[in-house]
Amino acid sequence: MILCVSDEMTKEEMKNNSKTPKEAEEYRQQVVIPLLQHRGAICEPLVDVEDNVLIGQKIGECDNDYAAQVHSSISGHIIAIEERPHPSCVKKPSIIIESNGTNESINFKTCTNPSKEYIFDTLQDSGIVELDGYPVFNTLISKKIIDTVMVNLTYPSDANSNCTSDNIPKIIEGMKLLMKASDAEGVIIINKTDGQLASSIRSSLNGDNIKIINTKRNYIPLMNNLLAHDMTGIRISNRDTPGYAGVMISSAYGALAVSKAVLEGIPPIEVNVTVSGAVKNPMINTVSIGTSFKDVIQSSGGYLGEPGKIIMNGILSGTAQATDEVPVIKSTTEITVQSIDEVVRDKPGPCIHCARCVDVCPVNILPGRIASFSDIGRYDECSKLHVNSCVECGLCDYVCPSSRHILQLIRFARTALIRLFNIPEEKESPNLKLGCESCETPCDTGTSSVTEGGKK
Amino acid sequence: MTGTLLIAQSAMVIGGIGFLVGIVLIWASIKFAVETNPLVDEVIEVLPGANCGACGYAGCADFAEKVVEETAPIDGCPVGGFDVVKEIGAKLGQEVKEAESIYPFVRCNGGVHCTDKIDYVGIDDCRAVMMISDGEKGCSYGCVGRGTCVRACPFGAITIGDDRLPHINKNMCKSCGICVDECPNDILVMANETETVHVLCRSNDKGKLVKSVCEFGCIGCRICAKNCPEDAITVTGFLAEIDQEKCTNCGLCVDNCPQKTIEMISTSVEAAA
Repeated sequence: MILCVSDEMTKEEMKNNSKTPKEAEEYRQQVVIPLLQHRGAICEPLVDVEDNVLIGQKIGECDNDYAAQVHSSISGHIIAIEERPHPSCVKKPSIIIESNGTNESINFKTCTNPSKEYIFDTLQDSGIVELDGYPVFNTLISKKIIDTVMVNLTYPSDANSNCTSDNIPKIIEGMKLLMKASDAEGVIIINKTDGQLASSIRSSLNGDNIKIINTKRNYIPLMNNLLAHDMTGIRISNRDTPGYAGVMISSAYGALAVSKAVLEGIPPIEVNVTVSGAVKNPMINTVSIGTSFKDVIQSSGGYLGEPGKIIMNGILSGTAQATDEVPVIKSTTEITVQSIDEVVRDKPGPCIHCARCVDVCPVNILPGRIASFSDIGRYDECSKLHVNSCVECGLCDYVCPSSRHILQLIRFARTALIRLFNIPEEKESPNLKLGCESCETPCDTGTSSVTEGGKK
Repeated sequence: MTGTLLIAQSAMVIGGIGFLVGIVLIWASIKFAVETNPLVDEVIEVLPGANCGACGYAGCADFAEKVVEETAPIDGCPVGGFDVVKEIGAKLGQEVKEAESIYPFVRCNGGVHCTDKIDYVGIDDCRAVMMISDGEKGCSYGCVGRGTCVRACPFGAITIGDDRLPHINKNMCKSCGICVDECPNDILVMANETETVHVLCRSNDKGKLVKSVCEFGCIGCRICAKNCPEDAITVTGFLAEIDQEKCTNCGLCVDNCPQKTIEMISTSVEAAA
C-alpha cells in the first residue's frame, strides 16, 4: 500500500542533504508561534507585547485536561499577539517574536537517571504533542493500565524526517523513558519493506528488551486505534484512545522529543521537516517551531517554477494550505510543494459505484456512500454509516475514478456532526454554521460505533 | 341457471360482509372518536402548507395546534405574511396589527470586486470553503459566493448573479430566515422594509488591507459619521454602523461614501421585480 508518493531523491540522498541547526539560524528572523498546537483548549499567553523572551521560555499555558504548553523557539522580543494563519486552516491567536540574534536560552535542566515522577512532571510541563494532536502526557494516563509502549515507524513522513542515524539512539532512549514511566514493554512497529531502518534499529538496540514487529501496512497517526487493534486484537471505539487497549502509541517524533525534554531539558522548540516536491533542493530541515513555510521552502532553495499547492503532512491525508505564511507547528513533519502544472483540477463526476474506495478503505467503511450522503446534507445517515471511524488516510480520494472529493466530504460531515452534537446551544436551531474547529473539540460526536478494523 | 344463482349467492355474501363491517366501523368511529378542535383544521387550511419550519414548530399542523392552544404567537408564521395573520385572527376572534415586513439583505458588496486569495478546488459549498482558510476571497469577512443560501432557500428566491453575490427576489422571499441561519459568514441579515440605508460591508480589517483586496469595502474613514445630521453612524473597528432607529434615510452618507460601501437598498417589491 502506497501512503506517500515517492520523491525524486531517495531517502539517503535527502538525509545527507539535511541542514544542521546552525546553518538553519540564518532564516529564523521572525517566528509566529500559535497558541494552539494540539487537540484541546487554546493556551493563555504568559507574556505581553514588548516582553523579551529566551529560547525555551514558556510563553503559553492552559489548564485544560488536554494541555500542551507553548515555548518560545527563539530569543527576542514579542511584536504582537494576534490572530494569524494556522495550518489547521482557520486563523488562530499566535505570538509573534522577532529575533534579536543572540540565541540566548534559559538554563536547560539536564537529568541522567530520571525517576518516574520526574518523567511525568517533565512531560506535563514540556507540552510534547503527538502527530495526531494528543499531548504525550495524556496518552500515558488511561483508564486501563498501560502495558505496552509502541513506537510507530511506519508513517512515512515521520520516519523520513526523524529516523536519521543520529536520532535513532535518541528515539530508543525516549522510548525507554516512556516504558519506565508506565512500567511497560516496548514494541517498535516497522513496515516489512523497510529493511534498512529495521537493521539500523536492531544494531542500536544493544540487547534491550524491545521487540520489533513488522507490518504489511503503513499506519498514519490517525490510525492509532487500528494499530492498537491489529496488535492486541482489542476493538477500540472511535471515542476512545489506544489507552483502552492498554497501549501507548508514540511516533518517532514523539519519542525523540521525550528524550530531549527529559534528559536534556529542552522542550519541543525544533522539528525535523522533510521538504519535497517542486523545490530546488528537497531535503530534511531542522526548523524552529513558528518558522513560516515560506522561509522553510526558501532554505531548501526556493520554489521550482510557479508554486501551485503547498500540502502539510503528506500528499494523501495532509491539508493544503491557503498561504505559505502559515507557521511550522509541533506536528508538522512534511511540506510538499506541487507546481502549478501538477495540481489536479478534475471536475468531480457522479459516483459510478465501482467500490474501489470500499476496497482500499483500511477501516472497512463505505467512503463513497458516506460522501454522497454528506453531499446532500444527510449527516444523520453519515453517522449511521460510521463516518467517525474514518481515519482520513485519503486512499478513497486517491483511487476514485470519478475524482470525487470524498475525503473533503467526509471531513465536512464530521465537522457538521461535531457542531450538531457537541455544541448544545447550536443543537436547538437548524443552523449548521461550519468552520474547522475539529482540533478544538477533542472528543468525538455522541454517536457510538466501533472501529471496523479488520485484517485484509 | 346455476351460474345466475352463484352470482346472486356471492353478491349476497360479499354484500353481507360489507354491511357488517360497515356497522362495526360506524360503531368504532363513534366509540373511539378523537376529539379535535375544529379550529385547528380551519387554521391549517389558512396556513401556506410549505412545512418549512420557519415558525420553529414541526410543520404547519403543529403550528396551527399551538396557535389554537395559544402557546404560539398568532403572527408566528413568517411565510404567510400579514394576510394569513389576519385570517387566523378572524378565525380565533383576535385583533391583529400589521407589522412591518422584513427581508434579508446581502451585507457584502464584494463579489467579483474582491480579489481571490486561493484557487479553490473542492466541494461547491460556502461552508466547505470556510473550513479551508477563512474563505477563498482576499477578505475573510466577505461573501464566499458558493451558493449555500441558494440551496438552503425553500422558496427558490435566491440566485447567484454574475457579480458572484446572492440576489434575493423579494416577490418569492417569504422572510423565513433560513438563509440567514445557513450563511457561514453572517453575510445575510434581516432588515425592516422601512430601513433602506445599509453599510454593505462587515470587514473589521484595517482600511489599507480592505482597500488592497476589495473595491467597495469599508475602510473606516469616518466621512459618513461626520456628514450624518442625525449622528446615527458610528465607526468601530474600521467599520461603519448605522443606528436604524436614528436614521432618517436622508441619503447623505450614500452620496459621500468614497468607497461606495453605503447603499440605499430598494426594498419595495415592485422595484425588485
